Amino acid sequence: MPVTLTSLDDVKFTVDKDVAERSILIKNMIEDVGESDSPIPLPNVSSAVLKKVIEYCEHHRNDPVQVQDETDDPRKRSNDIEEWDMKFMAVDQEMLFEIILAANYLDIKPLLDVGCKTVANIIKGKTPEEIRKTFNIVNDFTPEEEAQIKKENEWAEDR
Amino acid sequence: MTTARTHKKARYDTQNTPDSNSNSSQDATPLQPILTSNTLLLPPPPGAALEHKDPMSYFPEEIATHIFEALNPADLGKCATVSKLWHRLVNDQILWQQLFIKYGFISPRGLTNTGHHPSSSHGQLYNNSNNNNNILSRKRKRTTMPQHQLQQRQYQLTSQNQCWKALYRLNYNWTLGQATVSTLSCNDLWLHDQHVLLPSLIGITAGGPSSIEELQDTVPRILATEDGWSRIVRFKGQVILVTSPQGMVHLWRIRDEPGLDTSVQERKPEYWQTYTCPRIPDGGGGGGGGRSESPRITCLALDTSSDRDDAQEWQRVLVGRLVGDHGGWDDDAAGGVERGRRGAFSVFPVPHRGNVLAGGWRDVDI
Repeated sequence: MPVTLTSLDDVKFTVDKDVAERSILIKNMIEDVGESDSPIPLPNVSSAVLKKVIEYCEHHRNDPVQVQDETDDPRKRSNDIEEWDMKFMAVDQEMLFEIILAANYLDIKPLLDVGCKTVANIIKGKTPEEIRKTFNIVNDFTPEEEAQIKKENEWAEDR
Repeated sequence: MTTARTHKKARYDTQNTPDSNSNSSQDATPLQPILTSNTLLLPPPPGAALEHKDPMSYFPEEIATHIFEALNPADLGKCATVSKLWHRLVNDQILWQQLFIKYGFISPRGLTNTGHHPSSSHGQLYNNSNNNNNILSRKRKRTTMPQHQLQQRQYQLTSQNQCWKALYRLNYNWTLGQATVSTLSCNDLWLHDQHVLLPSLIGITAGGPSSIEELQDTVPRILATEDGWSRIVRFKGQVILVTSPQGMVHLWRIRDEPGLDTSVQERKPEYWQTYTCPRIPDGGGGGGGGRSESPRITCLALDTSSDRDDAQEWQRVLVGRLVGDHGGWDDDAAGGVERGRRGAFSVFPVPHRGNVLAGGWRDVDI
């Protein structure tokens, strides 16, 4: 039973139900409304982003449903990203951010996780100045404040 | 890894709202660079940086927290100095609580009542909580409760008035075994002693402490040794406790011998006995990739409860382990460290009630 999704810019996407239901938001909508032919409007997601999100959901359609905190050892949750996901996330920053927002809105936790990890990987290993450069951030600290904060965080520095 | 910036395409959106129909760029947004102070201060390389936005102001705070969760403390320390906004988000208590749980630390409940003398609060939190998994069940070898539930419950119990960042820092340093007292020191965590290592103890791998300067410690000492492992050292009366990388606690003691120089520096401790943690079986939540292994000890304590009939002070060796639990060696009625008898090791499914000296905290219940 296919489901039709309508993007912000009124583009229609028809996908299999199990693909669409990777989104908990859509899954709940379908459960609330019941079987219906009418398209599901997604007024927060543009077609370009929705296309990417559907690509992700199709690739991961057979993944076991993630149960909250299923891993018995939280420390085993790694920051690694699967190869396919990494390639999938190799988009420009704007698209990456929009995918994250869409994953949050559509409630697709694995996609949100992988998006956040991708941003974290951009940050990882950079100096504060490099981080500012990467994201066009203005340093609004005085040199004294900056030195103070650096001191506060010395304990965590790589040793 | 390949960053998101490998495929650059010129985008000129000025708004945060998703508006990226790539087929029709002739929309309401004119093709015109964003003239903000950012671009003036930091001229972007041609055709590259206009798309770059601050993720922490772009995203709602819960997503920002989610991103930070995937970073280690060293990176978070750098993030804190990026800007005022980043500093505030990196110091968010919820972030550190999540990291604390992710890392598998178990919070000692005594730390809930920071600054409060714990001897008056024995059992208080647990009496108020409606679980029956209390001190009476501590004899069980292993908790049957899945670890995440245990942690869930523990952090519910301790989530009030908790400085999660300080707690995380404490446990992180302990886990790495790289801590010194100054890096551990947090005023409200009872770490006042700035005396870190006894230099003369550095030779401990050669067979044991050769001398000590003082017998009563208020904080545990981390001993970095040449083999790359660190050991935790504690003193209690005439007993010296030293952990080993193999999940053991070696006890040394200093004999009172009449006629000898009474200054402690002159006394030679002698090996007394060893307590060994059982290996963590397959799938037991250890970090060792599915094989049985010796869990690393990250906290060492000597329980000095005296709620016993005989007047003699009673002691018990307790450890916190990297797998995230606490345990100790059972004594029998006439046992305890002082009598040199050892029972089996048991994991405490819930914090142990007692007057405990443990890693980084003391005189609190763990």
